[in-house]
Amino acid sequence: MSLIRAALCSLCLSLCSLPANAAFEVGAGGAYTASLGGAFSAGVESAEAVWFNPAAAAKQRVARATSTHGLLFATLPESPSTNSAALVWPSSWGTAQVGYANLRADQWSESSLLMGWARSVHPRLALGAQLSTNSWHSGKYERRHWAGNIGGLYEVGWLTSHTHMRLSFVLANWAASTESASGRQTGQRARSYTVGLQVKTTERLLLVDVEGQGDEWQVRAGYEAKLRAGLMLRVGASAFSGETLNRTWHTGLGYEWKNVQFDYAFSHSVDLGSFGATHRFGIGCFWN
Amino acid sequence: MTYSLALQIAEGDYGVDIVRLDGVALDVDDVVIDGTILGFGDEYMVSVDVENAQTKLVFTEAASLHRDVVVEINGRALFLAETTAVQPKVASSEQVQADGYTNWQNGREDSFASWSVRAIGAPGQLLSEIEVSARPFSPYADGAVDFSFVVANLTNPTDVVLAIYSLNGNRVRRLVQNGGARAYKMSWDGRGEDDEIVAPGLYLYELRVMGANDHGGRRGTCVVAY
Repeated sequence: MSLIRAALCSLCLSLCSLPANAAFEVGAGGAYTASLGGAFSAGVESAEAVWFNPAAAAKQRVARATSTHGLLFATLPESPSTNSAALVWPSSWGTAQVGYANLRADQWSESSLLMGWARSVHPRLALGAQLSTNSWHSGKYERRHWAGNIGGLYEVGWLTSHTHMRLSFVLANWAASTESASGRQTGQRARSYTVGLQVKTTERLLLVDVEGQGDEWQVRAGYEAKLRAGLMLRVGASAFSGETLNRTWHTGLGYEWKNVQFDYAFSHSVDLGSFGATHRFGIGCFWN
Repeated sequence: MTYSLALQIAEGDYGVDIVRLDGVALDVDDVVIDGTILGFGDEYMVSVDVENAQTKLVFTEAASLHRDVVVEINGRALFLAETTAVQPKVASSEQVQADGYTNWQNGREDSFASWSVRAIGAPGQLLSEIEVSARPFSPYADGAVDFSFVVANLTNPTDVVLAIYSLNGNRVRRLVQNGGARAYKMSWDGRGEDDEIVAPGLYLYELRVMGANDHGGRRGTCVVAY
């Protein structure tokens, strides 16, 4: 009961009115998480989780690294491109995490770097915190700001003998500056609140995230099914509700070979479909 | 293109010192009369009305025409349709002063009421490539970012719509002009629908034209930085 109450409180917090950024609007993530619609605040199965929940790294038993290259809106004459990489490194004191992502387009570049720490504080509860710095550069203008992210994972546990459930909560971009390069207020409100859940069976994975950023909302959902040994099919959907509604479908494949994983994600916006699809290619590995 | 005009001017007529080409906005390179190139400014002036597809030449007194001559006008034309009719008209400023109105004389061809220029090659798209004036664009320093383009082969007036989106799909501004086939310059002042200047970032734009039997669209990115 207290758990439901806590989830409802988190949901209410995320209703607080805060507007969104213009820069850094394309979530860093990677191919694995993009194919799941970006619903990964309760997911831990990839190093890409560092972009969604600072606490996720606490669940890693082995070191993981991942890298993704993405091409956004592929039909544009000069499509923006993204690159990201993430690393988690568990130790007896907790798990270190590092992520770097950039987005490049003609006369515009932005990058994000985060570092953090996560550990389990209870058999059911893991907490994590990150320090991140985001910067953008365009012509003679450039701007960098720092922010903090905190998150938690709560293991609900085994619902049935085959079904496990986990909840998540994240406060991102805490204390981020909203000034422009020339010192003007941009009207941005950066903080976002996310609550999510993951339901996992031996061969299936279901994830749902709800994120509030000011008066704008995102609902994300993803589903993964194992087709055969090492081969996974993923589908996802996300809906962003700002001044207008933007719905995006995602699908992708993953293949695990020994300790290397290959991922591909295809994202198509229903409302920006004429700009073309977004493709992401990722490679990841883990080692003891 | 070279537009050649044979003028027959009888003795005692007012003469001709104004030539207007209806149907074409011509970026005039030079004007030749009976094989002699005229000097721009000293002997003629040019005014171009792109909106109404008109080119007007006004000869100075030194070059005013009072005898039978052949006038050749060389320049680059902006044709907005696959087939464009060009109608020459001539007038005299002396007549305008005397009568208080312009008595335009229509050009006459042997077999056609006017010239018809047909584009060679595949029909063009409704929308040309788009020139974006400032990149990056700073609303506080530049005022507005201009999107220059040509809408061609459009037979019915329709809405020309410019929409600006943020990368997460939020439409921040929608601008509409109603018009036909012509050269456009639409400007965005960097403000959203709430009249606030948008945050710095990479934005998507989309231009759409819906014709009777066809439609066109162009897309790209623009950058807001300040």
